[in-house]
Amino acid sequence: MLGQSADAEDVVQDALLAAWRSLGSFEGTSFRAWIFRIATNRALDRLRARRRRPESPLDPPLGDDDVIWSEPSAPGPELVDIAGDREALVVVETALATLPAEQRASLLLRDVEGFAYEEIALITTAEIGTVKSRIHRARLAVRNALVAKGWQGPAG
Amino acid sequence: MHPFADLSAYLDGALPDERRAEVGRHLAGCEICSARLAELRGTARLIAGLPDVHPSRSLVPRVSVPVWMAPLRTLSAIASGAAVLVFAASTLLASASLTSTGSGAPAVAAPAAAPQASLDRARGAGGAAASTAAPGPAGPQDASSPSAQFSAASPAPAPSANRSVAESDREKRLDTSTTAPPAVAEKGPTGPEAVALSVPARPQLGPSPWLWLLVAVAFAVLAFVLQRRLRTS
Repeated sequence: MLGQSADAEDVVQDALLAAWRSLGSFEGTSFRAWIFRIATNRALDRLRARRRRPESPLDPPLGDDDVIWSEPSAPGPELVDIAGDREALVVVETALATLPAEQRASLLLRDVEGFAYEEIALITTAEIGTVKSRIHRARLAVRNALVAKGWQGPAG
Repeated sequence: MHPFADLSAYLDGALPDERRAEVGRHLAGCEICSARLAELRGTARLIAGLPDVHPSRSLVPRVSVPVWMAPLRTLSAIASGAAVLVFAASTLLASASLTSTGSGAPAVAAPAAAPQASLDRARGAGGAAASTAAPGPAGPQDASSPSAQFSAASPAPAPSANRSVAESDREKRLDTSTTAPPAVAEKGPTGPEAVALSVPARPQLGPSPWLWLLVAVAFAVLAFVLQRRLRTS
């Protein structure tokens, strides 16, 4: 999420400390979502501070239908299926790193942590429509990066 | 119209039932949308397959100090507490024995002019006793008093208040038979000063209790320093 393990560890430590301090105020149903909410907020705060340009929004204006589905560019025959390959994971990581932070957070909460959209909305304090849009855009961006490398979708 | 914008939500099962059915029907007949859904599914699978990040260091700061430090700190703290207890106990004992003997023999203050006092102890002691007659509360005694007391047997030339205290203590025991006249000593000018400097005599039980307090403070400082070192590392 943060792209730097040192920052990530700082944020986790911060978040756990904050969670411990405000343990009494926990009144939700999912402790896991609550912890992730604290940690995600801290991570986003950290990214904002890192950027030092608070006037530029982390999340660009959303419009679901104007996103571009890039077409594969002359796939090499040897790159027909790089899914599961180490190279594909590098492409995914690079693509994730270029995403707006809140898109990345939503996508990771979905695909890595397996939260439902409603939970992600709670965690990131966003509307569920916003969550849906962020996940779609983020996943599409990763897909486009893969396709640009000659990926032609999953093998099976 | 292709439901591109809903494909991710469809994949995640996050669409309302009605919309879900619509997209499902469209997918059945649309090759493009089916291919894109498969790509999104593959993408999500790749993201899920990203290697887990493990913290490179413990989230609890690693302690890189010598292993003996923590036990030493604990021992110092315990020793400090024990010294405080010994201090309290010896203080209590000393004050208890003071009050018991104090009634029988009131404490005597002696002038500080030690060389002369060694010549005519009895007179000096008697005079001071007459002038002050202070039974003496269990006032704080300097930490150097034990040594002064131990050397009190020989009439050393050190003109200190502590020495005179010890001497007067001895006098009380040795020379009370020789009833000296309570005359005002010839060293009149030194009288008030001597009274001011003198400390009420009292029986001693081992080293001074204040020595134990000193030990306690020393151990406490050691424990504190070690604790800070342990915490910052």
